[in-house]
Amino acid sequence: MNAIGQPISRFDGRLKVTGAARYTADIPLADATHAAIVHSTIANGRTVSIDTTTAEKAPGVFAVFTHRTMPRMNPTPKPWSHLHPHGQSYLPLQDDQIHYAGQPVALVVAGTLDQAAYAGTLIRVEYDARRPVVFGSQATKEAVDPPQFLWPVASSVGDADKAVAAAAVKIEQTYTTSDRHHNQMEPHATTAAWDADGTLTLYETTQHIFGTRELLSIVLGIPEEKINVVSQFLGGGFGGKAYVWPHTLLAALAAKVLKRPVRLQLTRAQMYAMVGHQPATIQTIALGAGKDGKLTGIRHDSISPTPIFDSYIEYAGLVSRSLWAVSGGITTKHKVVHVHRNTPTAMRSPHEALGHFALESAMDELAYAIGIDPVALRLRNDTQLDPHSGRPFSTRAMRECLRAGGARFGWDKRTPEPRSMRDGRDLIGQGMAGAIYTHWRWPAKARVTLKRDGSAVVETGTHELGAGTYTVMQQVAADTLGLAPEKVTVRLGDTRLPASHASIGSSTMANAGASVMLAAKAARDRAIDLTLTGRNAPFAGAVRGDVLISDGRLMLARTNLQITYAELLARNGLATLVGDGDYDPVEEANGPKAVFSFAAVFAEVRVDPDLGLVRLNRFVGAYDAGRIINPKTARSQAIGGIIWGVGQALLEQSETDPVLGRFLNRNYSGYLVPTNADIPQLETLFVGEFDEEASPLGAKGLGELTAVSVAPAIANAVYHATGKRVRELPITVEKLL
Amino acid sequence: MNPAATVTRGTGENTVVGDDARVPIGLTVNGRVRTMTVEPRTTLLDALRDELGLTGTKKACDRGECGACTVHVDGRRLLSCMTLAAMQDGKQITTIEGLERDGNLHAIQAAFIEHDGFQCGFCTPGQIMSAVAMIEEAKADWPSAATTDVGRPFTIAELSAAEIRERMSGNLCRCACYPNIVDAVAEAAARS
Ligand code: FES
Ligand code: FES
Repeated sequence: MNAIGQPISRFDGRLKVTGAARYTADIPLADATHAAIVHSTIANGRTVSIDTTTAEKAPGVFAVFTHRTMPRMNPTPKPWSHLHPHGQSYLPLQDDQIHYAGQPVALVVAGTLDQAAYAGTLIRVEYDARRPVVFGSQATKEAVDPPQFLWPVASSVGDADKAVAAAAVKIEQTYTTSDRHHNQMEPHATTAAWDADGTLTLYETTQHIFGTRELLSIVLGIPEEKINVVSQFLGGGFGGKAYVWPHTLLAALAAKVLKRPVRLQLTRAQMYAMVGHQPATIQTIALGAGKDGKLTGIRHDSISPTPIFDSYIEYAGLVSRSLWAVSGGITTKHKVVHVHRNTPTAMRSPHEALGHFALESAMDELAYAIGIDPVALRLRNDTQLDPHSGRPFSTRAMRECLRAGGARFGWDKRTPEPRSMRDGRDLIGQGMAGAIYTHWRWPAKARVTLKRDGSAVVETGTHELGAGTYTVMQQVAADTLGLAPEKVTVRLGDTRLPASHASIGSSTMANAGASVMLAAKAARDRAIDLTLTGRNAPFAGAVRGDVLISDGRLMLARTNLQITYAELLARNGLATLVGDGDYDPVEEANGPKAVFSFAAVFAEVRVDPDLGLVRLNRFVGAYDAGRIINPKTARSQAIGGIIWGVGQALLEQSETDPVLGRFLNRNYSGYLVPTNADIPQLETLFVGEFDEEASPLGAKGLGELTAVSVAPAIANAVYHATGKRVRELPITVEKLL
Repeated sequence: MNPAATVTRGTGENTVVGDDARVPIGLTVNGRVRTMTVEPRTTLLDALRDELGLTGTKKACDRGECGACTVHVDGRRLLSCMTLAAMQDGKQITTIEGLERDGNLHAIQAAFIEHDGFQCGFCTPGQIMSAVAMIEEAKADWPSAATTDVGRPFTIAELSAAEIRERMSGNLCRCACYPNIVDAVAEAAARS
């Protein structure tokens, strides 16, 4: 029997629908105190004085920390990078400088949350304020070349300038995307508790327990062995909880000083400056093509804001390096503008979701310029060779995505002229886009323990963010061991378990999953050894290849000989049988093949011609994410990704006050995310196949792929509906009036 | 790590002065009478979570914008972050922990699992509490903004996908499980 490939309901479903799943802020802790942060109201300058005397006397208050009293922190290695998973290099409450609005200026710890928050309002801060630099239309003039960060900042293959200049057809346009915030439903939360022996246990809303441990070890100057980080259920991550942000450091140090556990949960408004966001981009694309639509050159440049103290790069140009075949050349370039804000970070889907808006909008403009169908244009530029690295793609089912997605959508019934389709007085528009997503290969460890009662336990330090990690790991272990899934228990999210990687970049299935498979294999092989050479070995003298396992029973082929795991362990006097999995792949960039996930997505919108209101009518996404382990949870990830894209396309933007330099709409009524009423039925198709280069499980990344190219598909549909090309996200009504 | 200076400290005592006087209240929560003292400014949400340890009810915005804190008060759905605990003295409260009967899931809970109506699960207690009360509202003939003819009483048979979407839109889900939530609610409503 195979658990892999089955639409199994979630292993942790019951915990989640009964309220029994414990998220970070739910962990009961005797003696816990509550902390509240007081923020800078200015974005640039310094504090001149901070008067805490009244706050200290307020009821319930244990301590008030400012930059004068917070213990010193060690700086993290320079240059700042996400490799040491530090959200930003600027450390909290260490000096009197103010570099962004919302920066902490004091921390209050009290007996209850209300006491801490109230005491915070009693603190008086005097500032020496200067005018902040904000990201705006001046940005392009102030842009500078940043140091390298994740990938090379610029890339060049062939001669793009020459190819574009000589092209028969040219598209040159600027596209912009807005600042956005993750707005996970679960606010970031930390509870820090120190033992008498100096061990710190940190309950943290994190997608990266081991990285959190590493960073705390550096900043606090204590060995990693003295730190445990726990994150067993995360109420959404989307990249925003992948790195360590200042409040975590504050809570850990306050708890140390007070010798009592400290709990710190950010308010919704604090989630706009205490943790990262997706920076806006200004992207310029030049496409050159022949009259047949074949691309000859692409130039893709992007500018994004970053703080005064760090160089975060949003690699919007990445997509243009590998999505379509280009005969003459491709160049991409990224610049940053230093402004007064906190450090941006990865947000579903970083780099790609922004870059695709520009590239796939430009492709639609090219299709109209030449007079060719947008799907046909993509088919014409499909390739099995990565134009950037020259390596063959491991698997690339783009053609199948375009074909199957288009057929399901009914693309052939579309009339291409803008404003040619209507439903009553509403304009109907149909648009599409292709998509590519980077595949990450990272090391991961896991342990699988077979127990004497015939059950098994999987242990690995990865995370459950909502993708269904508990469930899919159960499926992988069950199949490898030959056990029913109900017999397998999964433990995640604790640094006392075998080390795994960050749950980012849609990498968990392929990498952590591979480590679980290897661990289960190791445990199974040890069991097989026992059947051949153990005490009173039932299959003595047989060959390994003849041992089959099903439903917890080991059988010898072509005989009636069999023994259960439970009997085998009992016979050998063993309480457990342990297998370790150590997945240590070569980095994708150093492998023989280029590994990416692919998609083609199709959107239909309805536009009110008088109000300019855009509604999504229906949507079809066809995905090549390799082998799908659980079609039920995979579909959920896909609809979630599509809806993220709808937010990017139509709703989401964090607005900055041009004078004060602070984010303005710091709540769900100002920052609009899609609601249930915004979303029609969505259709998802999985057309990928087993990709052995991607992972021993055959799976490629899925979650982020599905949020990519939704925005250009919708923007292209809006053009088709209205004849207006909107090159600035989100597509709000005023842009269509 | 060297402490830069001595930390200024308060006493940390829960001194009862002026506005901070705690008030005694009694709530019937999931069928059990619970008495406690709360600060007058404490929300029902914080009282449930911090005083009673009922952490199934979630705080996501704390200002009435997201629905994560939805509970039932005297059978109707209510945002527990938008009401003070002291205002609910004597009321019947049901939280997500109180939906199971004798170890059996409520039909909506089971439908959420079957239709995968959640991912991270953080908004889920609020979604489920909202859905349970919403079906009762529909049965009581309440119309919604999606009801086309409000001139006549609404009937539960008219609880279309569009009606469910509208009636469930006070509950945000950032994992964005909306279509599955609609399927789960539709199935449970049809069976109820
Ligand atoms: S927490 Fe109450 S509505 Fe958001
Ligand atoms: S399931 Fe994650 S927010 Fe709804």
